[in-house]
Amino acid sequence: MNTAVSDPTRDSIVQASRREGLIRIMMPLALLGSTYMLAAVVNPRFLTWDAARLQLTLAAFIGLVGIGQTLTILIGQIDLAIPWNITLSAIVSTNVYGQTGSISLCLISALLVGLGTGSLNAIGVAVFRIHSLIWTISVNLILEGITFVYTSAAAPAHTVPPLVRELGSGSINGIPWPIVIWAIAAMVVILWLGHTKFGREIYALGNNELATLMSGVRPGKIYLVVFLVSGAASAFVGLLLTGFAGQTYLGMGNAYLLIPIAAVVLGGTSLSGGVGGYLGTFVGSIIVVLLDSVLLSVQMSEGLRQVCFGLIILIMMLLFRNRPSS
Amino acid sequence: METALHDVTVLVAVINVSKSFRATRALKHVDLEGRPGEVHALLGANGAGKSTLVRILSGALSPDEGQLYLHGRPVHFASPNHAGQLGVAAVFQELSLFPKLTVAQNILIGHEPKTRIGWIDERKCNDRAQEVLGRLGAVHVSPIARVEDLSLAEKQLVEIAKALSHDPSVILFDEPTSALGPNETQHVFQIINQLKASGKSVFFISHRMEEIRQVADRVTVLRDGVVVGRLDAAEFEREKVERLMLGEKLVSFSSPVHKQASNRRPSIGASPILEIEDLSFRPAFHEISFKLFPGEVLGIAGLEGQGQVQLLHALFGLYRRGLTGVIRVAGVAFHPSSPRDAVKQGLAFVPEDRKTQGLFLRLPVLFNLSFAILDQLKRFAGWISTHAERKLVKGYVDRLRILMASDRVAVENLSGGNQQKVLIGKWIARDPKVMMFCDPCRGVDIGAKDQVHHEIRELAAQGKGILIFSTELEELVGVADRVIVLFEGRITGELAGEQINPANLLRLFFGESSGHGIRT
Amino acid sequence: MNLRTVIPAQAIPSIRSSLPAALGLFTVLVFYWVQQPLILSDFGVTSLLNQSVALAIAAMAQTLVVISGAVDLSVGATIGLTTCFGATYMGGSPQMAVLLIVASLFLGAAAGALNGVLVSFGKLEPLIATLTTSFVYSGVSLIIRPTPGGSVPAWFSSNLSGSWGYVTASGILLVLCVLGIWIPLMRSRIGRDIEAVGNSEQNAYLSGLSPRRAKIFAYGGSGLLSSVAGLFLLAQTGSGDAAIGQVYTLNSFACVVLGGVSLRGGKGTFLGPVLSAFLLSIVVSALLAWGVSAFWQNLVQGLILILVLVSAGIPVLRSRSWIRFVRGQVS
Repeated sequence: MNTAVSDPTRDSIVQASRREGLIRIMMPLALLGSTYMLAAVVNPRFLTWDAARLQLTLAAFIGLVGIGQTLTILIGQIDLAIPWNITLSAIVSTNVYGQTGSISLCLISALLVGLGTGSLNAIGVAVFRIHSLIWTISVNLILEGITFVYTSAAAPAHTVPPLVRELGSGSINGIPWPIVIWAIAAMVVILWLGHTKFGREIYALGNNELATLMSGVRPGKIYLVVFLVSGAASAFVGLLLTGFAGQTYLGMGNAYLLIPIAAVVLGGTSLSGGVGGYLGTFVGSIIVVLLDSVLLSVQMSEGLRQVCFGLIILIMMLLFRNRPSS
Repeated sequence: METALHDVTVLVAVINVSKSFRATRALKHVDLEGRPGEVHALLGANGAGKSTLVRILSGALSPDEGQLYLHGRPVHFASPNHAGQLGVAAVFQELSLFPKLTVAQNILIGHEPKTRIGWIDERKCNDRAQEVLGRLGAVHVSPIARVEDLSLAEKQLVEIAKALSHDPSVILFDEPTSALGPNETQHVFQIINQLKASGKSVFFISHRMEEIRQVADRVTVLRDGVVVGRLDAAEFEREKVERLMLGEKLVSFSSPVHKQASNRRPSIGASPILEIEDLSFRPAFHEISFKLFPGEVLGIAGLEGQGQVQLLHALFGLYRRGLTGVIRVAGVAFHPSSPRDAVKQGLAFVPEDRKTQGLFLRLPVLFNLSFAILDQLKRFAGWISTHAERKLVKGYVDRLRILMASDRVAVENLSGGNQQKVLIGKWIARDPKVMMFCDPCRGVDIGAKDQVHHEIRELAAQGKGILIFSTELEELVGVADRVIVLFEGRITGELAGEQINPANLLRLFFGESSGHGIRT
Repeated sequence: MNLRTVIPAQAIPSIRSSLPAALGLFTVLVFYWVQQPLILSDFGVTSLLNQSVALAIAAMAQTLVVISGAVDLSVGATIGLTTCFGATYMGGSPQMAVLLIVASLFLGAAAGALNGVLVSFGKLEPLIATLTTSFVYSGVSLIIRPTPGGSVPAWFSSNLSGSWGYVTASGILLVLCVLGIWIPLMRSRIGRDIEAVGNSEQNAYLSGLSPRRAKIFAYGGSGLLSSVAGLFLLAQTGSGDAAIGQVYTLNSFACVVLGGVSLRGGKGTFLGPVLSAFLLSIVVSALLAWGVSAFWQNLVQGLILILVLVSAGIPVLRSRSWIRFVRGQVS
């Protein structure tokens, strides 16, 4: 069946898919723009570099967690073990530092918690084929349990290692370390996802696991790496948070359940997997933090703030989310 | 066509109907009518607009322009259920059943009989379902069985029963036999004849010529969304219809004359590229042994479900455990326990279900074509050179004549035939030693089919070993050098060269040497 | 009306899927009884039921949504919202209280229906939609009750926790939920549509059903049941607390999984999840009776959940075919 190549209908398909690709990039940016304008209107102080520094630092925490969450969501799964991964790694590492005085042991123990969580997640999802929603939620519960037993509900240690303190609240050339780290990590992730074989395999897995398997790729390897990265990233954020806040406390990771997921979704990555990328999450993290700060600056009760935040996120998603083509 | 409205013999009609999807115009000013007690066939290549027309007729889609008429009066179907209430029901090619519900629940979904309190009356449901199934002669299907436990043929019967339960006067069959074997296909034809005899207006969509000839009273041919021909059964002539379907310029490769003339492989290698000894995977197949030589196309044939697909799956490493026997590729023994093993040994597999097993539908053609050879495209630090990728991909697109707007378009936008070519191209790029095909031309239109067969012969000519399982006898006759037939998981016979013809094949299909009737 | 119409033949596989939960419950009860024979006295049974019924009803709520092929992460938030609503406004006359109970039920159903609208009309994925609404609903709870507290009339409290011998008010409430909400819903056409949508939304549409209507009913039913659970919890604790529901969300999932209902949807019954609710609630007390400290609670619950999930996953592990393995099917 040979038809002429210059078929107008086919050119339209190309234009349509180019338009879609453009929308996918522009939407989060448009959202960011409008949120920023709203912030400026509410409180002109948001336009200062000081405010921006704080926003970006907070966004960095979300964005770094978002690296793992984006990868996980891209393969069609989700990581709900993040909250207590953050808390446990923070508590364990500062405790280890307090007991041994060794910064390397401190960092290694945080890493081990993160990698351990990641491995546990990967095993449940890849080997036992358990829905990641329920599995990672259970892992989260276990991490919470371990934390409780570990600390026996006593107040956690206050000995924050100087390096951690520096990374969390210090800066280089006036730019806070978290922002620098985030920027570098973001570039690496975006390039990795978009231009390497493994990045392709992630998109393939999120699109069609069976086809990925039947193309000669081992899906298990992909699951493992993705969950390990997510675990390690969250553990690292636990360290940064410790340095930022100057202490650890039970439940310090609980805010990082919904918010990074919202950042990922607002950034255009579909929860069913296979579509999207980290650039969107990067922008989404800033949007989400900005929104939270705007609401904080307006005097309202905690409950009302939560309601407004949730409603605005819902509206943003309803109106602006990139819908997968039917 | 305006006279159709006033013609009392017309039951249902669409007049001047057009439909576009985003950038594609699927139907352009199409007229169609159906009479009671008649089977009206719709013929056309993939993408010609047949399925769109059926969906409009059955209420799943609304036309952009044009009007539907039922019993001479204009109607508008708000939904498939509405169409069902008005007496129009469709049987889809891709079944619309619910696996975890029972047969009765499926058949009566949406119009279950209720008790006085408003709850569903399960017993009446089961009885009604039993009755409809009985009308179809499907008494062996139990109303309380779960659909997921049924065989494909039984599921098809349930799908038909579901349509019939609305007691429709118009029934549309959208490629109902594509997944069925010869026995079940005949059964479906019997049902269609019954429906015709009871005065229903039946529409039958297919791209299989032989079936149309068996069953249709009238034929309408579509091409590129336009009606290009209307014929009565008497006027039905294979070449005339093919020309209508494909346009004047294309010469069909599938005519018998052309097949003889096509290039047979110049030489077949001496030592086997693939050797199988006593390969078993219970209960699917037992003690299979054969040799495949480079340059040879070996067909695997038989009735559906005799272990052929499982055999190919086993060779490709799709079984993690339970496979016994010896497999040697180019003399090297290997035991595949994952597709990765098989691919590393030089095997490639084009599976039977490209949409769920082979392609990444929402990703671009470029991505799909290069996915198996990413290692070759790596540069410094694992970076993939897009330039090299596009060059490579273009090579295969040209060679296979894949028709698409651009390599960046998602594969789901391509027609079935072009999708299949993308899948094949992906594997050719890897330069495997052995290529295995599972019903490569299922759901593929004639033009693409010829291209695929041509490519298979080309690959063989390059010295690869080809295994091909097909349910279409013609395909095997046209493409294979040797054919082995499986029955109940064992090889019942082997045919070579001139011996490969439908009659001999069918004899072996049933595991006996006496003839059993020929399906043409 | 003979037994066959009450339990149709097609329900038998569903009853079979509840067996593991039933066996687990039986085993735990036996162990508990060995340690503490009083557990099977009328007082013991009353307190067991009082402990478990809230979770049992929450489990039913989650099961309903899971059957439709989705998830509801706002179950806990709706429960918390109901307790805050009731504890703040219920005081005063009996008429006021009754009015409030009715209002709470409407509120719960509406909260659920909102989820349904977001998922069906708004085309949001259930995970993010219900996660965000749970945020909003707990925010509303905080607005109503910034700190835990409030009060309920004494008769409300005592009646719902009361008992007459082995017949407990909580048990009656549970039975009412089954007979008054679950069964009418699932035996009707809408219930069938919910199952159909859980099987395949596309096929549901092609078969002429309305997937949107089915989803809204599923979520609305979940919200309704969540508010019932909230009211019961309110009677138990006598105060409203925005955070009290949090643990119920995860646990309701645990009950669904333990109860043998597939998370992929399309089929399910209330029996398994309800029995699992009893099982999970009792395990904690059983451990306490055995002398395990409260600090280990979370960890033990998590481990039980993981163990059950893994054991459910083991049959798939044994499948010989990669295709079935990837699809999560048992060979």
